[in-house]
Amino acid sequence: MRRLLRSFIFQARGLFLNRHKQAELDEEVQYHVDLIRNDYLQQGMEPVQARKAALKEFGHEEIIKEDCREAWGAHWLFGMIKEFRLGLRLLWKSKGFTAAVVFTLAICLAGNTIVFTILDFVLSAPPYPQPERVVQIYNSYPGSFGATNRLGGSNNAVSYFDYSENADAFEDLALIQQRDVNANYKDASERTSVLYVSKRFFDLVGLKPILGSYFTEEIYNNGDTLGASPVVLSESYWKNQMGGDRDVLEKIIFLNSRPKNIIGVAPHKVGTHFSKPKFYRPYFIIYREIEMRDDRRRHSNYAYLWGRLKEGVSKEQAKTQIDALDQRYFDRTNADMQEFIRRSQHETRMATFREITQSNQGNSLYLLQGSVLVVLLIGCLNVANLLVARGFGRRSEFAVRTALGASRLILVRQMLIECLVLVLGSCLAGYAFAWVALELVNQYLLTDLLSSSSVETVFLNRSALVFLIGVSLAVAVLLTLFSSISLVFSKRSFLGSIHNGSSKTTSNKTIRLIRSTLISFQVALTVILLIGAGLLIQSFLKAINSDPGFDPKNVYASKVGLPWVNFQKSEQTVSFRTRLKTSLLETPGIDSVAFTSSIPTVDELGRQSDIKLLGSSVDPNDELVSIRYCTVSRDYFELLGFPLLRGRFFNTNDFNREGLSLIIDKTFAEKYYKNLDPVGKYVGLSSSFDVSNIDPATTPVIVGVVDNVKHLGLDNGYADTSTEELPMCYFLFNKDYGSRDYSILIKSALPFEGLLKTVQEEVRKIEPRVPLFLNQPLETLVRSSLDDRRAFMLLVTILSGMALILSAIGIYGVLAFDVAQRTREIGLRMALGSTGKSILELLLRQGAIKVVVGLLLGLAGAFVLSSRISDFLYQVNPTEPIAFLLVALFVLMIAFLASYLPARKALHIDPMQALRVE
Amino acid sequence: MPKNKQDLLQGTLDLLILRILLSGARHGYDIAKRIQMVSDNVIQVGQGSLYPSLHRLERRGYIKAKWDISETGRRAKFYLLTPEGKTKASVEKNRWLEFTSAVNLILKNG
Repeated sequence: MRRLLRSFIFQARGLFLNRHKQAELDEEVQYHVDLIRNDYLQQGMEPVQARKAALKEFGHEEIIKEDCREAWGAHWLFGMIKEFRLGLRLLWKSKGFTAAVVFTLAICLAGNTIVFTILDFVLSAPPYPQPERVVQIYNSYPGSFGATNRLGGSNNAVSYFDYSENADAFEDLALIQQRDVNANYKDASERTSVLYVSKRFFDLVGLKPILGSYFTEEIYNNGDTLGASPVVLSESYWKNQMGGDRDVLEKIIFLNSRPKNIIGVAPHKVGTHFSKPKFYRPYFIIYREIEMRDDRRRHSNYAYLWGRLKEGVSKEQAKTQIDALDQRYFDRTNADMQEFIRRSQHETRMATFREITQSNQGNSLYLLQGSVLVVLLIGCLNVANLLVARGFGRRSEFAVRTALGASRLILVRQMLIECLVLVLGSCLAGYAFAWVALELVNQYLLTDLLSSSSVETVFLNRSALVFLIGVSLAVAVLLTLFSSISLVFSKRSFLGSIHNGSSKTTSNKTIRLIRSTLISFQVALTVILLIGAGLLIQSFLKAINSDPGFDPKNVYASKVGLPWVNFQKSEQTVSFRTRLKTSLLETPGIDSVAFTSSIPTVDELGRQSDIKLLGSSVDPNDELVSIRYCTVSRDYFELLGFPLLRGRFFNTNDFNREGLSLIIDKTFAEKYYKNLDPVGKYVGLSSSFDVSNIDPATTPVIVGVVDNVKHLGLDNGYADTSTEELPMCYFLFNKDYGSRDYSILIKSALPFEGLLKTVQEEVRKIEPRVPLFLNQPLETLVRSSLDDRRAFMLLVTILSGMALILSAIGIYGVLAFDVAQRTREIGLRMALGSTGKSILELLLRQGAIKVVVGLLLGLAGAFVLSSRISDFLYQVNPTEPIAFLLVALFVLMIAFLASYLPARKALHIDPMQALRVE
Repeated sequence: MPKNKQDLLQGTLDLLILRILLSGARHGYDIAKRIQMVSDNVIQVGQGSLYPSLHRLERRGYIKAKWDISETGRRAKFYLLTPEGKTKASVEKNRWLEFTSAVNLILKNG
């Protein structure tokens, strides 16, 4: 090692002190020669002859000096720099070529870097110490709600206490729940999110507070009795709303109109993977309310349970413990619950952050990364083609250099250096492109693309840089390989080149074969990408033009969250609703007002299992049913224009009825009532419901059937894949319904801004401290349910467009080169009487063969690969013939154009001149 | 130049240089003369060809160079052995002796 280092220092010195060393060498040699000359002079020789003899005895001075320099070893380093300069000079001479190559590669490299950066940000582990030990523990019920590939889910306090007390695989366990609150600090009021956290949450995360402290054991044990209840601020709220004021501790902030005492500020990183809350509050209720620990509530899921595994404990070991505890619960619980667990195939599962994001978001990003790599490959093939052509043009140069003693290795090395120079330039330009593009991505695309990730901004970090450099190096090697191939194959013709002085003979067959193969390969890759894009566009068009099942026109949606202090009783919330509705309906221009627990295409739906359907086509004692539901007010259906299929909409009787009234959808009716009429049938809403004990006044009853509606977004069909078969049920906002968080739908032809002001005014009149949020026309909301699909489609389309342009350039380049090479041949043919048409045909046919081979390959490849994107398709078959056909025609057309332009040039060749071309 | 002079076996020049430098620092001309003298003019070094060897040995750390005033009063580059060079000299010498005795054996008995 030391020797290596010394050798390197010697070389480096040789490099930088070159001039000095050179002078020393000269002096040393001169001294030696002088001494020999002196010997001869002393022997009595004439000075001139003595000098000649001395030089002869010493040997060939210049060769010896060169050998010495080689011995310094600086040789190769020095040579590299020399060749680097030579490379730069040569590339500078052919600016057009260099610009084309650098631009192509830079764009491709930038694209790859961008997608990689996004992927890296999304899938990167949370910034907690040892994140691989942090797992989410959740209940899954594949038997009731269908199996899904998505990981992650909710849990509850009962499991939390059970596992905390009886499983020792975890260092920390924490239960968290995210909710929206109205926050008032000084004059600013906003709707934002708060994270309720159990004991040990901050230990689990393992990050220190920026300011103050977190919730102590004492705070949890004493609850709210210690004066104002404590709150921990997030870094972002502290910085944005309070300007990072360090005196903020012990100050008061109002959450849902109640004073909270600020005790600390948590760093931004704590919340990055927990829906980025603005506030943290102790999750008091699970410790205070004894019913939260009721064993019978072990399967009502409303919160997230996270655990940090003890050092050295594997996920499997922890799972074994949890399974054992679940089994113990199963053994002690009642028969109904056992039946439910068995039927729903309940299992407690565990997944790390990374696994969860990967299952939710990874697929589309991997697909993008694949596509953008393909574009890079096409770009490389283009550049390789250019290099091969260029190498061919440089045969004479290489031939001369070979004759002068340059070994093949030296020529390959020079190719490598030229490629490195090109790639280095592309890499720098690519970095700049990526930087600019990421700014745009952050601004316009990211939130759409990453609908289910907490990543908000991405930027070029160190791993992106490493990736960029790595890919660039790979590209450099690939390109060197290609350009060297041409060198190797043209080796034999070097001698001929010198004789000819130019390359006027038809170009080497092997090289042409290589180039044709490259073109076919390029076309094939392009076709695959284009078909992918085509299928996605088709899906998007189908989705955006699909009928949501309701009429969002002139409907405005706002959300409201009533503070708990002023609305503790359901009468209060009902009276708020009634007053608001009355005053809004008095406003001229407002046609109708409705309330709902979830806005279609915006909000998630509730899910419930263990429902008994009386008088249906299934036996209520035998088969319990799982449904999705939302709760709506009386005018909901008419406001949104839901088609009524049977029975009636809700009316005042339903509102005042002791028991619930329900409306079901078409799927529900078809699935469980077959040819029976569901209207008037009773429903048991829990497994403990006694089917023999029906009271017409209190038992829930079905009053109507409406058509299916796309609740989960335009592209989710009637249901998403995980809840495919779950029928839909609507409950009524009746006199007992005391929810404080819901949405207001208003149908009005009034302009949006004015309407919004009126509504805010009316709300403020009734309750001043209630902010409205969301506030969007329903049409916009419905359309934005396709945002992620649009973003994804757009990106793939851009990528395949790039691929197409690159391929077209490639085809054009190769044919133009062919035509130029064959000028003499074409001239000869024309002189011998070929018509322009037949020559055009000849050239076009040659272009067409390459393209058609590529096209067929591409179609076959797409046929095999397109099933990969079936997850992203909406009502489109992955082997949809239309997409394949259109893409094939499109590619043929572009390829024809790309070959026609250079071929036409050949027609303008003057035979006389062509034959004279040297 | 007499024709019956021996061509130098490749690599042996290094050994000769190392051996000669064992007796102290010398410059290039000196080394060449010394080789001629000690070998009774049998081995005629192409004098210039010493230098690549010298520079190679210097790079490998077996010898080092310093500039000094020579007997003629002019500045000259003197080479001297490093500790590694001394070891190398004896190792190479042994190897050479082993090799030549083996060759001799073959020539005598083969």
